[in-house]
Amino acid sequence: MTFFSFERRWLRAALDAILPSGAHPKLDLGARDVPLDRFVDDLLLRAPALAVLGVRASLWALTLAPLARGRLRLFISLAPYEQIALLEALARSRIHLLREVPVLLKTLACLGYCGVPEVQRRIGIEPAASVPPRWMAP
Amino acid sequence: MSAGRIVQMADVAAPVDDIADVVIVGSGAGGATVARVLSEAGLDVAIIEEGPHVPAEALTQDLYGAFTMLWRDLGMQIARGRMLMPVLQGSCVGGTTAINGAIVHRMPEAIHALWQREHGLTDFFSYAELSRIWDRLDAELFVGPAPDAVLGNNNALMERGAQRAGVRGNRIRRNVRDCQGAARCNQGCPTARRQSMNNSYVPRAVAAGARVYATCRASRIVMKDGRAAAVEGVFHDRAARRAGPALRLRARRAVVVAASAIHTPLLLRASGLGRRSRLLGRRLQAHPGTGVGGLFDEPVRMWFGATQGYESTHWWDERMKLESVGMPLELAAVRLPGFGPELVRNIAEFGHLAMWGVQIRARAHGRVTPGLFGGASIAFDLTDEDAHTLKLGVRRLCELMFAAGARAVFPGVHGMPERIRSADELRTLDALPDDPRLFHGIASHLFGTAVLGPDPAHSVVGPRGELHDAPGVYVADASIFPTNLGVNPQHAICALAWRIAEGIADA
Repeated sequence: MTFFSFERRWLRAALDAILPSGAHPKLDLGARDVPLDRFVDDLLLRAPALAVLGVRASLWALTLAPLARGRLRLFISLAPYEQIALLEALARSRIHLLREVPVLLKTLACLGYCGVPEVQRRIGIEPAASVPPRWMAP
Repeated sequence: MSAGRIVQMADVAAPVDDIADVVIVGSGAGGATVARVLSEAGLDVAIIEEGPHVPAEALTQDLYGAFTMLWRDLGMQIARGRMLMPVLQGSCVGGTTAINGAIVHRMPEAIHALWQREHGLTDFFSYAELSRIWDRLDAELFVGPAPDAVLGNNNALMERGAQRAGVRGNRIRRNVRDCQGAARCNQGCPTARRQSMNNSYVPRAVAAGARVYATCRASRIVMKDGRAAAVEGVFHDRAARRAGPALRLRARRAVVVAASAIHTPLLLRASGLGRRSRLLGRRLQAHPGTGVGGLFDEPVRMWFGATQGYESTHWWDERMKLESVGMPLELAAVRLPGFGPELVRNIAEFGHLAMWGVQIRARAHGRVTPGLFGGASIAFDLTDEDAHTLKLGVRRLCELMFAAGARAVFPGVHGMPERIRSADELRTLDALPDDPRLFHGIASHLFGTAVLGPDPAHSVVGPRGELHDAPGVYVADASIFPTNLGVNPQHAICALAWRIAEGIADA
């Protein structure tokens, strides 16, 4: 299964919001600084169909969440602070399935981003991975 | 007898037909133990394993890479209930033993007594017989407590917290030979020191002549003249989602199914076996769990030390066990509070983060059926009492964290602050309802979907592990356990499988 190009843009926006660049002096890398597109491609290729469906449903739910809250905008067009506020609001939702939306996307972001050797080096992990994950290869 | 070897999809171009005395489905704790016992008793053994054979030098350093190679469904196998809960299993040569925390426990005597009293366990599996086997297993798998040199601070802090709080605990007994403290048990041991089945009993069986057909999914058990005759399967390339040549393994004496409490009932069902009692696939039990993070002033460095090195069974009678859970950054980050800059700040403090978990002896029963998209459909819903036990477990973990000196604790419970700074704040937890949806849980240690017992009307498998309705077909994994254990089950599975193998050898 693969994503449409607009879904890729939505996903990229979500991952950037979850792991922004320049947020910490020690860890100034964000999701946009590592090739997470390749990670997502690999995951979509290998993950079970139900899991891919879950990622896609979560992405749509997040993207359309502002509309459900009375804003005529998509997640991608919110300001960064509004995106984070929305992610946090969903994570605190009274509805269990809605709470799972940001958690699933956070899992996706962290699974790719935190496996990058440069991220591990900057955090101080010793030894950091010496070989990049296979999905990083062009 | 043929020479022992491991064959995978890449090695076969045409359909394979082989014959052995005993054909085993699955190479995890149960299957590999049966293979080790029977092959060294002089029987000709063949194993069919759905996952690949991954030697230590082929392991990747990232968690996702390990998920793709070693874990079932990339760790995304889900149980459906009021909460969605990942069900963690290995899918590789060695099965889940290749990715678990190397924790070794003998079956609690209270559980064994319960099985004898209420589930018809016979003297074939007497505690004396099982203890004899556990002694052998301990010696052969180098079982011992995590030594100081590789304890690691995540485990040492839990030990400190337990001592300060007056909570009974112990270094975990682990099946590792000269552990190097790589802290990557869940990614496949990179130094091959962990005596998981792929590093111990599978090679032993191969040395004794066993053939292992890896990357091959068993699709059906074939009966002939009322007895087990063969197992049919298909090689496959998981990454390319491509099926390969067929495999037919004919069995002279027996077929042993040890494909886990999820996949054993599915294979039996697909073969039209084990259905007389209508219990096949039902009564799924588990040890669900959740984790708590703690931030310490001193370095924790979860990337060094035994992945799981300390535990407390202080509250075992209350159906819970606490244990340290060394997590790689990729998993730990998900459990950290916040999104955006707050999350990145928390990730940057990973070196000071400790993670401990609670696993409960859940009362819930679930069910396994064939999934719509292939694989398994797992229904498992924690009871409110289970949720209460989890809540108590989280409280105790938080208290231990503060006793150990944590400056902040992340309970990971919906309805609580994401970060608490003293045990007083746990009053919020006490006020929450007993609802499983409050937690981010996982289910591991699965039991009971082809339960053992003397009465064919109330069990799937007979007193020696043989199916009531299919002579020559045995089950040798945790499917046959009448209940969950409250402790990690690998050693119990190995012992029961060993005993079943002895029965087959003697037959």
